[in-house]
Amino acid sequence: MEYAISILPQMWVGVLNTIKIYFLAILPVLPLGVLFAIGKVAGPKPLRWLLNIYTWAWRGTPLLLQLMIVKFGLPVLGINIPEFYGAALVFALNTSAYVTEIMRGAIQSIDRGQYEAAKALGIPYWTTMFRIVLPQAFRIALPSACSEAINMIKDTAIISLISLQDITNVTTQIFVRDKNLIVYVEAFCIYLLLTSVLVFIFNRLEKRFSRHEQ
Amino acid sequence: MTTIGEYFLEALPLLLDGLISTLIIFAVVVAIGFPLSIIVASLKTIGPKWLRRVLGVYTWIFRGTPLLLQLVLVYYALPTIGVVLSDNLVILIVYVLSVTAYESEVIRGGMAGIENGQYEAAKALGMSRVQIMRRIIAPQAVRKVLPTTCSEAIILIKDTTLIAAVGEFDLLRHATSLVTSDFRIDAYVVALILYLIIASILTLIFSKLEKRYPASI
Amino acid sequence: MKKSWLLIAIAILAVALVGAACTNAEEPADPDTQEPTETVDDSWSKVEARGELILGLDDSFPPMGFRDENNEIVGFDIDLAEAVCEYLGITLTKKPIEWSTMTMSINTGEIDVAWNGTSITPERLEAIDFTDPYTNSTPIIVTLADSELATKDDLAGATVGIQAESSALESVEKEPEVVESFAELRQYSTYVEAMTDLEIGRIDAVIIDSVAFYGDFQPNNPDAYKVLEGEFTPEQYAVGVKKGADALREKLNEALQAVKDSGKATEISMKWFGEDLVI
Repeated sequence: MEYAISILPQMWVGVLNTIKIYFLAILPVLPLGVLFAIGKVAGPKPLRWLLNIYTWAWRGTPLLLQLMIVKFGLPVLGINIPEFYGAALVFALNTSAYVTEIMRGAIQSIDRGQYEAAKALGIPYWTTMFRIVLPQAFRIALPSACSEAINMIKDTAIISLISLQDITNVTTQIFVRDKNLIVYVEAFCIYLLLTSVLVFIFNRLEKRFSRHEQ
Repeated sequence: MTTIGEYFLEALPLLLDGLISTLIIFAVVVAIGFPLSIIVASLKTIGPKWLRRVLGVYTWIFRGTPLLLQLVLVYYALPTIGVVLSDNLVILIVYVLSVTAYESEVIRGGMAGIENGQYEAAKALGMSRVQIMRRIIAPQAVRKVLPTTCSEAIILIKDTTLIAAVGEFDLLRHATSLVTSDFRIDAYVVALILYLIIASILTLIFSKLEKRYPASI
Repeated sequence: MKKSWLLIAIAILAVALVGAACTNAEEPADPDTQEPTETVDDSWSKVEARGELILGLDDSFPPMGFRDENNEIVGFDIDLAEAVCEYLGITLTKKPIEWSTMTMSINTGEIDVAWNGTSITPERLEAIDFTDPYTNSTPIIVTLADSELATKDDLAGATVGIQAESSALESVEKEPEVVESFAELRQYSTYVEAMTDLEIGRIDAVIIDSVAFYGDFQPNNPDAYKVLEGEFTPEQYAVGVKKGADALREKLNEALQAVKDSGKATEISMKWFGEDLVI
C-alpha cells in the first residue's frame, strides 16, 4: 500500500498526459463527424466516394498502425508535426470515422416522408437538412457517439507504444524499474475511475439533450 | 531498393503467419463470445436482481479498462495468487470476457428496444420467460444489432494486436519486427492492406447477413 | 455488389499509391542525403550551433536508460552522455522514442544519436554509423537459483524467453541450431516481463544482456538467479549516428576517449555496475 502511494506522483504525470491528449483529440470529433456524415448523405458523388474510402480505411486498420504510418510516413512526404499533436490528430481522425458512420446511420434513419413534407411546404433542401433532419439525427446518434467517446480514453493507451508518457507508458516504466506488479493494478483502477467519470458526464449530457425531445 | 511490389511478396509469408494467429483468435473468440453474449444479455434483461448486479459490475470493469492491462494483469498478476494459466488460455479468457462485455451490452440495448406488447402477447399465449426470450426477443434483438456487431467484430480483429503483450506474435507485431530489421516502413503498408482486406470481407459478410435477416420482418 | 468491389479495389489502390509514394520519395532522398556529406558535412556544426545533443532512447531499459521516481530519465548511458556533452560544451536533451524504429528516427533527424545500450550489428550498420564501442555486453543465460539446468546445452527442449528486437536476440539467432533445439523461444517486449515469467514458471530460462542482468536484476535480488555456463556472441555497445555524419561521429569519439582517459567513465561504471565495464 505504501508502495502504491509512493508511485502516485509519477502516475499523475501519465494521467495528465492521457487527459490532455484525450481532450485535444475529442474536440474536433463531433464537428468532423457531423460534417462528414452530411457529406456522405448529401454531398456530390466524388466527395461521397472520398468519405467512404476515409471511413473504410480508418475503421478497418489498427490504431497503432495508423500512428506508425503517420509518424514515419509524413516526414518522408516532408510534413513534420510534433509527435504529441500527430498522435492527437490520428485519434481525432480515427474516432471521427466511427462517429461519421454513427451520424450517417442516424441521418438515414429519418423518415423520407419528412423531406417530402418539407419540400411540399417549399423549404429548401439544406434548410430541411440543418433545421429538421440534423437535430433529430443528433439525438438518435448521441448514445452511440457517447460510448465511442468513452472508448477513446482506453484507446489512448496505445500511444504508450510510441513513447508518449501516458498512463500505460508510465506504468511500464515503473514496472521495468521496480518490477512490482502493483503498478498495473493501480493503472487498472485509474482507468476504471476515468471511464466512470466520463460515463457520468456523458450520461448527463444525454439526459440534457433528450429532455428537449417532447 | 526493391519496389513495394517485390517487397510485398518478400514480406508476405511472415505476415501471413501473423495473419493466421490473428484469424484463429478471432474465430475462436467469436465462436464462444457471441453465444455467450446472447446469454449474458438475456440474463441482464430477465435474470434475478443479484445476477443482474454481478453482470453489471463485470461489464463495468471490462468496458472500463484497456484490454492491454487486462491481458497483463491476468497473465502476470494472477500467478501471484497461485493461478498460472498458459498464454493461449489467458488470451482466450480475456478476449472472450472483453468481447462479451461489449457485445452483451449491444444486444441488451437491442432487447430494450423491443415493444412491451410482444412480451405481454407471448405471456398471454402461455409462454414462459425463458421461452419468450429464446424464441421472440433474442432473435429480433440480434437482427437489430447486426450493424453494431459488425463494427465490434472489426474492432476485435484489430484488438488482436495486443496479444504481443503476452509474448505472442500477431500480424502487426510481425510487421514491426520486419520494420526493425529492414529499416523501412513498407511492412506496415503491407499489414495495412491485409487488415483492410479482412475488414472489407467482414463488412461484406455482415451486409449479406443484414439483407438475409432484416431487422424488421 | 459490383460497385462495392470496385470501391474496394480503388481504395486499395489509393493506399498502395501512398505506399509507393513513400518508397519513391525515399529513393531520391538517399543520394541527396549522401551528397551533401561529401561536399560539406554539417552534422557537428549543426549540433554545435544548436548547443544541444538530442539523444534518442527507449526510456524503459534499466540500467542504461530509464525513469527514476521523479520521472527523470537516468542511467549509465545517460551519465556517460552527460559527461560527453560536458566535454563538448553542449547540453544533453533526452528524447524517448520507439526503439524498434530507432534507425528511422535517426534518419529523419528526429534525434542526433541513438544511445541506449545500442549494440553494433551488421543490419544496423547498413542503415546507420557507429562511434567506437565503449562497453561490451554478452548475452548470458539466466534461470532461477533452484533450476536443474546447468549449461547452455541443457537448454535443448527448454522454453526460453528473450526481449524482442534486442541485440541479444540477434546474437542468439546467429546460432540457429541452438534456437532449433529449444522447445520455444518466446519474445517479450521487455526483459522484466521475461524475468517475471521465469519466476512464474512459464519459461525455463531467459537469455539477457549481461549489463542488464548484472546492473539491474542481480543487485535487486541477489540470491534468486543462477547464470548458466556458456554464453552467446558478445556485442559491443556504441553510439549510433546518421550515416555519413562523420564530423559528429569523430567529435563523439574524441569526447568518449577524453571521458575514458579522465577516469570519469570508470567512475560512472562503478556507480551503475559496481565494476569497471568500460573498454
